[in-house]
Amino acid sequence: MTATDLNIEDSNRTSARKAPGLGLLLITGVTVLLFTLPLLIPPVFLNYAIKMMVAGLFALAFNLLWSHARLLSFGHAAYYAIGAFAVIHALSLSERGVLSIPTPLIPMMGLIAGALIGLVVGYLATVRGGTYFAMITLAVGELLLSIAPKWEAVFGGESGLSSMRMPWAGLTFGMVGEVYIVVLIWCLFGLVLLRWFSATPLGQIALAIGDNEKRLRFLGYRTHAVKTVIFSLSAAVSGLAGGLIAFAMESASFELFAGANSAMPVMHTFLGGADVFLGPIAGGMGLTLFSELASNASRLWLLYMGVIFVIVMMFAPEGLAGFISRHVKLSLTCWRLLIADYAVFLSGCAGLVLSGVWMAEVSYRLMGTSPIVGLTPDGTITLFEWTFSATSKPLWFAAVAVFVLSLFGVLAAAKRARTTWLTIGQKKDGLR
Amino acid sequence: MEMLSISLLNGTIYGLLLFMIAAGLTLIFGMMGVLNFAHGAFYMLGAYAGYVLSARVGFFPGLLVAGLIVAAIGAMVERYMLRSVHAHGHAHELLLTFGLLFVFDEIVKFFFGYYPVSYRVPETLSFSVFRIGSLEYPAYRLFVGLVSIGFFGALVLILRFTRIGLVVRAAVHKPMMVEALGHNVPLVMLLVFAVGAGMAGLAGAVAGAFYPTSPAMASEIGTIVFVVVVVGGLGSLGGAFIASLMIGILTTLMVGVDTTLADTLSFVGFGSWGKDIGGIFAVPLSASAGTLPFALMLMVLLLRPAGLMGERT
Amino acid sequence: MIKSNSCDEIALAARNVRKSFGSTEIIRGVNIDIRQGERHALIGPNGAGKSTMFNLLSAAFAPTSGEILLNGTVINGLEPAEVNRRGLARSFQITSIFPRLTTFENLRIGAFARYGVRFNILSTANRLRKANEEADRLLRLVRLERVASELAGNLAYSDQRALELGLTLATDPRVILLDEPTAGMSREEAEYATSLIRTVTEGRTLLIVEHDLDVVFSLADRMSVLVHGQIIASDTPAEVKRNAEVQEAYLGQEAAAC
Repeated sequence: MTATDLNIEDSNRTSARKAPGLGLLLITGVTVLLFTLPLLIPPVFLNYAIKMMVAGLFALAFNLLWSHARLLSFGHAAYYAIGAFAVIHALSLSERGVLSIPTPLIPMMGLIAGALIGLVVGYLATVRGGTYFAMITLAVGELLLSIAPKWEAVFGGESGLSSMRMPWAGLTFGMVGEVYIVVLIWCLFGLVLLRWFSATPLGQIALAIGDNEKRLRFLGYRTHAVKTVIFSLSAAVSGLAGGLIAFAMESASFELFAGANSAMPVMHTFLGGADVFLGPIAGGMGLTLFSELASNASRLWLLYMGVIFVIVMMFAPEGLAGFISRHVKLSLTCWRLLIADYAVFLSGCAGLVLSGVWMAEVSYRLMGTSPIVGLTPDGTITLFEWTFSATSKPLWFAAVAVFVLSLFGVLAAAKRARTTWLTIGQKKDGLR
Repeated sequence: MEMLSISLLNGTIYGLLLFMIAAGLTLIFGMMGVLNFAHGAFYMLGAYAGYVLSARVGFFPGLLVAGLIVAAIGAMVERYMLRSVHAHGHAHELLLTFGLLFVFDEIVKFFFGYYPVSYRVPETLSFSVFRIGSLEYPAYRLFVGLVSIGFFGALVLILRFTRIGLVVRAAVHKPMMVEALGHNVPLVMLLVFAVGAGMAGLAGAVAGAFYPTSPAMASEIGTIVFVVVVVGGLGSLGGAFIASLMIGILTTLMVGVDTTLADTLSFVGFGSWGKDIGGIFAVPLSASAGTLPFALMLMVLLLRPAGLMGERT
Repeated sequence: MIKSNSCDEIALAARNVRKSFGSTEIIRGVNIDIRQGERHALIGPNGAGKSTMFNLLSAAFAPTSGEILLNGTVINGLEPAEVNRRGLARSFQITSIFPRLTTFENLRIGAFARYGVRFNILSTANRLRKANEEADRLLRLVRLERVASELAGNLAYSDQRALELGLTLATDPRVILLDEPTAGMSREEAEYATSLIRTVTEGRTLLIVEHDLDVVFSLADRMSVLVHGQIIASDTPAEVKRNAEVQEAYLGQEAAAC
């Protein structure tokens, strides 16, 4: 355990020392690609891209609290939703001519609203840490969820509110491409803001709070004030994310406050990897894309996501990005020794996913509990243009066999790889 | 008046039911320092198990077996999942139970669909016991109350007068110390987790026949029980008992009240102002029954973070 | 605030301090004077209440009754942050550093507090020249340059203890409280730590709680002996050594243990 821990830290430091040229090139390349995306992909996918970027930003904002101050919020939907409503109100005010802000700047309202509510809630919630903090954020979230549908004037009651983006400077914002660019710019702004924050003194102090709050107090810091500010910043960027969604959809309803929206950034962050800066973004974007694609193909997407989340929490608590980057760095030195195990592990995972999904989807249809998907009258199923009998014994036998074999392969490969690392780790220790 | 006494009785019974679920949660928190997000799911699993079993082995044996099945699930969750995550810290344990809530929810939807199932009170108990004025009181509600009281009594007796109860009470306060004294704390934890889950499961099986049995029940009851445990004081059984009754009675009473906040304000002459603001001020209190527990929890967390009877701050 | 001339040379003082946990009284009426600029050691057998006394003096605990005075001003009941800003810093017996920050960044956190840049989010930490220079100075002071960019969580134990000392110094306190700074160290490490403490506390007031009597006798100008929650002697090391009561209560016991 210690050997691998040391290695993680080792790799952290080396990555910081990496040549700046390559990183800069990569960032420029990705940015250019993102800005030219409207020319490359059809509008439907641009809508996906908007949702993905917003989910990434939201997860990143949530993770500001965890990755720095080790505060776990279970009520971030509140700030997301309030940001969304702030933008909807701002849009309708500008529609009525009361407010004259350039349309692309309106998402700023989400940022401001989030910051303000974050200041108030943050002050209350950060009085306590740990479980109490989690509970207070949860309580505030549930409280707002229960109030929102009843407060017609502000949250539009059960049906919600909608508004329209006004044209500005020759842009109509009627096309998804234009909206995409606005969302992209704001997301990059949020990203840079959070990245910048980590490098500031307050960012470092926030990290120190997560490490050892008591010590910080004895160094003369009023940590409650620091935590309130961090909370407010996290809520502000969450509000921006919500505002961007409202800006793109031109509507918002009280359902934005629902627990599912609080669960989203938690899942995205911890699946992606909370202690890698890009982890939450990867988690947010990846899972949103998958859910957009998969929810069309499968009604069981949430089940899969839950199962993956539990597995990751149990076996790779550092999240997928953390897990992968650790393994890549670990095995660079001795990939020859490990490549066979990795191959077995990965194909085992693929086997588990394929056979598991197949069994789940087929039995779901056999159960007949879904009003939407089911069997054809003759007991056949069509999955990915492949029609077969749902109760075919050979198919079930094959699926179970693949599942069991894959499970065995994954376990064996993981065990062998672990032994290899331990030996390498011991050798390294011996050299020191 | 009739309404009031019925509401009080209903509220008390609801409160007792809440306690039956909250007891396990608060004990588990006391021993492990982990607030189990999946606890509400145990309640839901109990209801569904009761629904399936009652049709096959009869209603009352079904209840019992449902409780046992959920206890077994709880034991497996503790032994094979929570324990392996323990090394990564409380936050990860919390996250794991959070994920489990999600998975259990989806599994139930997988087998039983999104809509409530028709889990019904058995014939033998669907009569009215007594009448208050013109209102008849269903026997099954009393049965729910009796089962809860029975478990409350049994729990108190076990905790007060048995050796294992003594170890559990000690372990809730100082798990490390109890382990140092040579007690098998992991086994005790497993047991407490299983019993806690089993009680929630049994509560679900009993209550599911009366209240709707649907996939939504896990998070609904889960959040209310959270409130109960926090208000009562994390780790405090007595506090959980008081908080359960309090929240049970208050929410039940509020459903019957049609006054609005604006009406209340008119007592001090601000009625029209309140109505002008509209929104939450113009909503009858009955509609805010869902808001009350969370407002209460927030108040307790901020004013007396240890809860009504909690010791830990 | 009440501030008499006679108090001016007393940096830190306890006046009739009592502390109870539940029904158990741990500190039973303690008076201590720690003079400006002296190195003062607090010793006593296990269970005498040294740690409690230390926590009372550093304002981590509030006394049940009595007063703690820093430069003549009552500090009991103040926030730890406030006490630190008034010039008192303490270390922790169980190493208390920031494992996810590098050694340099740890010390810089202290320097931020000193230069009042806590809520700065307008410039990056690396740009703040003064704080960085101060962190560098501290780094040299506690001789940790060679591990400046290591994460503090990965440092060797003795380096972590040195960092702990550096953090305590980082806010430039006039009064320093060290809680068993050589606990768990080998003989050589303890000697190294002692010499380090001697250099870095030059010109400041030091109160040290320590088990290792060699360390105490080589460092302290004066010492107080705490037994059963009461001070039984407060004098120069030579005088304390001669004190019969102390020998019986403390040194005799130590000798017996050897």
